[in-house]
Amino acid sequence: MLRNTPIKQKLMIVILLVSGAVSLLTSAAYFTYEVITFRQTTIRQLTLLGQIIAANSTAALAFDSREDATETLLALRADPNIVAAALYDVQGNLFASYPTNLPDSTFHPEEKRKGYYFENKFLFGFEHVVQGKKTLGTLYMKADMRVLNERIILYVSIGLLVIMTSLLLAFLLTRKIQTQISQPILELATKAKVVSEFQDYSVRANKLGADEIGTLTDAFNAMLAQIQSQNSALSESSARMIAVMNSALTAVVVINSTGHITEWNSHAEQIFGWSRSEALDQELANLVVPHRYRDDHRKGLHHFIATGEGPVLNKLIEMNALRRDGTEFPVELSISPLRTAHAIAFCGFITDITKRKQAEEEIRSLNQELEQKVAARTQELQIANKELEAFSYSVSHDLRAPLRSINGYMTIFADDYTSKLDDEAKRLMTIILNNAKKMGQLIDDLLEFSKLGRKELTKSRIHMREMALSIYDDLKKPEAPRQVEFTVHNIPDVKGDNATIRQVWINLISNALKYSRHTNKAVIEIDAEEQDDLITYFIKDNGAGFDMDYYDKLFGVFQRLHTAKEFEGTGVGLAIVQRIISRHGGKVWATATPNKGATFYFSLPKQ
Amino acid sequence: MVLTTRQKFTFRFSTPNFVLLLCALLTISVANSKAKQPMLEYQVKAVFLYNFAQFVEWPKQAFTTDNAPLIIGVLGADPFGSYLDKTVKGENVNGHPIIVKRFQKIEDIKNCHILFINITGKDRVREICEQLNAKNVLTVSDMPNFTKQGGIVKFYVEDNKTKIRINLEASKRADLSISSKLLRVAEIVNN
Repeated sequence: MLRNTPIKQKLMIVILLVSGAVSLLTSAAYFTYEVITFRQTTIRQLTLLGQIIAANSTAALAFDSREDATETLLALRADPNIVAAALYDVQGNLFASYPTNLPDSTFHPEEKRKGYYFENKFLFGFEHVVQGKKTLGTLYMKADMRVLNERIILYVSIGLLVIMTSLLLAFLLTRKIQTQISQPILELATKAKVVSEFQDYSVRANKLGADEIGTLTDAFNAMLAQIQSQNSALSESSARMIAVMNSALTAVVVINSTGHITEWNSHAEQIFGWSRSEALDQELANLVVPHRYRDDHRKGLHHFIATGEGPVLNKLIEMNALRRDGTEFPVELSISPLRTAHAIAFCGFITDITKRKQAEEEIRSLNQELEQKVAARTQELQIANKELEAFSYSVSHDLRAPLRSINGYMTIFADDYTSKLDDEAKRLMTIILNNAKKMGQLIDDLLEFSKLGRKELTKSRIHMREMALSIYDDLKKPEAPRQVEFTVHNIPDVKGDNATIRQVWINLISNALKYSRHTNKAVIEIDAEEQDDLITYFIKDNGAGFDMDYYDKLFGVFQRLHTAKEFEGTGVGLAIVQRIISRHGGKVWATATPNKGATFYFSLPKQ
Repeated sequence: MVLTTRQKFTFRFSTPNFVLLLCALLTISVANSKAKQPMLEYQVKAVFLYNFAQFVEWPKQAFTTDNAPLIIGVLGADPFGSYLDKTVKGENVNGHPIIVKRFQKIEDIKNCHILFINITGKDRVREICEQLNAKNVLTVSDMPNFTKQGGIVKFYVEDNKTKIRINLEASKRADLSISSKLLRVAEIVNN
């Protein structure tokens, strides 16, 4: 009930109530004590009187002396409160009374209780008159208790006076002293009001004492100082924040959970055409989201608020946005939820990507053009290649007939005229024959190579190890035994065209044998390595090797790194190998050191 | 103790019953008193005699033992009839049961505490009283000049009421201590 009362009055009321209650209780206790004591005292006095009178009345009763009894009772005059007394003999007859003209109806001995008791503002007393052990009669007394009532009235008056005086005194003292307590509180309250109304944190409360309120005042001032410094730090940091935001080359937009704009930096002003003051408190959807996306935007926002699921959050997305003039333009956008203790907001970083989109579009069209050009060129090349192959095939095919006739006639010529020729002529003839043979070999290889481009590949499982071993068996020349250590490790099988892969092995193994011919002991090793989707086979020898500087010529047609004198050959073998492997979708490469050996690798896809 | 009995009843019964009973008892009492009851005056005196036992202290040698009887004697003609016996019946004072004895001659009195003297020979009273003083006997009589002749207590009638006169000197001679309360209601003489 005192909640809204000013503290001054509260203090006053509390002190007055307490002092009033205390003095009331004290007075009541004293009053009760006095009344009880007074009644007890009265009873004790009456008892004493009764006993004295009774003791003095024995002889009068015993010897029938009413005068004496009357005289004894008359002694009660000394106590003005005793209004009546009567002495009854043992038979219950009235023997003497005080005052003498007491009406007979004052006491009814037969109805009276024994002892002393209060009744109707009177104290009644009863005493047996006893001599020795003999009861001689009964004494009754009646005392007026008006005195008690007078006393009660007196006590109550005094009590009320005391209470009034103490209340008055308490009031006066409290009025003086309460300012000691209420003044500092009022000071604090006034300052607190100033702070909360005007947000003026530079205000300080005056400390009026070193008590708890003084401590409170210090704490209040310290709090204000802290708020002030934090406020300035906060405004500085927020100013810095705004400066950072405005210096960004990206539009920074913050919306609250209802989708309304709470932050709008200067770049946002530039790209959307709305000033900060216009944009703030507007719904983002209404301002910059094209009509067809607005419902989706709102649904997405509600969905996130309800479930916390935001599939478009925290990633870069591209969409169209609306300018103030109603035109749409492409933007790149990332939205991050900003969770604070009590609310959620969303921060969007928006970049105008109109130019980028244009650039991308240009690149795309250029690429497309390029691809078209490449395709056209490739087709042209393929046609040219085909024509070239057809040409070289027909050339080599057409060359074979005259060469065969040269060869044939030269053989006849040798058979028929050898005896008629001198040694020089024989030598020249042999050179012609050898060159004609070599040319035949060249034309055969060229034909073979040309055919490879047209041949269809039929793929099946090939047992590579067996194939390598059988080829080696075919190739080794029993007529010229040499020391060869030929090892084929447990290499995996592969799917490929049996005939062409066989050709690959033939070419590689015969090369290895050929180029290791000049070593004392040829060491040839075949092994393989499996990768994820392909198998790399390799063949290693300890032969002549080659200079890696000329590596780019290694797989060219008719290209040779060694002279025909050193090692015979046409320079088509490795070109064939490369052609076959590349038609299988694989690759060929090699490493070598001159006079130390070479390793040739080819990889084939597992499927 | 008819009246005592009546009082007991009166405490127990309500007023209408009490009145009926009172009438019945009074009728019986009156009928009895015609034949045997002494005069009202002697009934009072009988009670007084008994009451003296309460207000008088005897010297120790007056009782042989602590519970020896206190003897109320009547010398000469007995005016109380059976009333005195009825009055003291069952009563005792300080452990001494009260009994009544009747004596015809002074010589019969060997042990007595209160003696009511009712004899005719006037001259002998002084002598008797002196003898009895030595025996610590409270002598009582309603004879004229009793106290003047050395008696201790005399009953006399004034305004139609029985009153007491005490010869304090005689009581001292008999080595009796009479309560001041008793003395207050009595007329005191010194002979």
